[in-house]
Amino acid sequence: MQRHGGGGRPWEKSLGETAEIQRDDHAAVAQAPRVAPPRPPVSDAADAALRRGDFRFRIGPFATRLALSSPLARRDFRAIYGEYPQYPADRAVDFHLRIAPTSLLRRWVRPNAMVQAGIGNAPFVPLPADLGFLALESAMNWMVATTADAWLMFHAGVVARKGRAVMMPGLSGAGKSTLTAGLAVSGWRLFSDEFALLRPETGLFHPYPRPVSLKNRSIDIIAERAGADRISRRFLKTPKGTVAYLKPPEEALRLMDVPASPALLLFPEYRPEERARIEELRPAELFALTRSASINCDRLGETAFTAIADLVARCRGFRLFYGNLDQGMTMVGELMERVA
Amino acid sequence: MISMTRPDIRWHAPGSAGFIRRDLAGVAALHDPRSGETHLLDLLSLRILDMLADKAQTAGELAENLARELDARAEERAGLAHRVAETLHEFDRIGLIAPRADDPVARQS
Repeated sequence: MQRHGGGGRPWEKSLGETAEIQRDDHAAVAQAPRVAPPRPPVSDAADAALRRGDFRFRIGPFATRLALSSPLARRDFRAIYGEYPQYPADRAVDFHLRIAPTSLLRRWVRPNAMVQAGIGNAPFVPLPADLGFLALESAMNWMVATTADAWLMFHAGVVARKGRAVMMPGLSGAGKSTLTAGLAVSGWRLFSDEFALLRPETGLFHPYPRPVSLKNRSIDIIAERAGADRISRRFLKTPKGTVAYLKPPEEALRLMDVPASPALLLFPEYRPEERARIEELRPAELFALTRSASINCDRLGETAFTAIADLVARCRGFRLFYGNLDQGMTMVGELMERVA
Repeated sequence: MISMTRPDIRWHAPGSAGFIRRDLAGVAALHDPRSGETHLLDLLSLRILDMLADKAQTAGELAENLARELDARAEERAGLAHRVAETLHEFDRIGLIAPRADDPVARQS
């Protein structure tokens, strides 16, 4: 079990340690605090903690305390999050989540799973009990998006290579999660498929490597590359069709406290019926598109304006139209070389 | 929002000292902390805003001053005046400018 000592969280230390950008990930690892690799929790102890509601784990800068009442949800959670570091009991967490049936009756009759986050007017609805894990993922998305204003956040995938990050904003259905997943299992370090976290003070992206949500055909495409053992079971009949999760590569979790400098902003669109192409964006277009991808720029006001302007000033941006995953990945690699 | 059919209104940009700007290769990104809004302005719009920050002017005075500054030909002045009117309308709509508070014409509106 990986533990963190007192005196601030690891990413807060890394702000000072990694103020210099443009470093190779291997060098970053050598300079990062030496901690034992995270070990999967002992099944019975973890299961008991999840039932009791005092299981604590960390993903990047966010620590969560979790309760899961459903045995199936606990099994799904341990299968998908088993490699993530646990979090000390004596430290405050960012989020406290409970996934449980809406009533005692619903534990047995048409069982369901409902998120309890301790926040009134949260937009959660009960899901069938076998989708309890999806309820957890939705809850974590919502908690981060609505509360994590120490970060400038974008709805985007982020991967990095040699200390330099590419951010790929995109609406659902544009293919960014599949492209992010493909890159993550092909030598790029996964930061996130959903949330780009930018620290306004430093202009660096910080990892938030959640399991990557894959839908429908993308599941088999990524399973073929990553190995079936890295893909969760399939969750059927969700609002988005069939969903499965890619467990992040080991490197993504081991380096989850090591940020990267932004180098490239890409706006990918999966267009199999069109010819593949890139279109470079002028600075004003890039600013407008990047700002529109931000989740909390309105809440951050001037801080967000300055951070986005700085981001656009240091990165080139492109629309990327691609017809299949291999092509998209190749184009990302070539663009990264071009801006190096 | 005051009707743009009142050409004798003197406009100014009272919040301009607080605007935050960044240049984006010929387009200005401008953040107004009062509203939290961010706008993209082309060079002409930015110049109009700067002129109103320096001194309150009517639409006609602005167009005349701009025409002189840009050395506009006679046949270009009508188009420039139209562009000034459109820009003032938009700036008024998004709150970047306002009629001078002591302007008797504005008080009647």
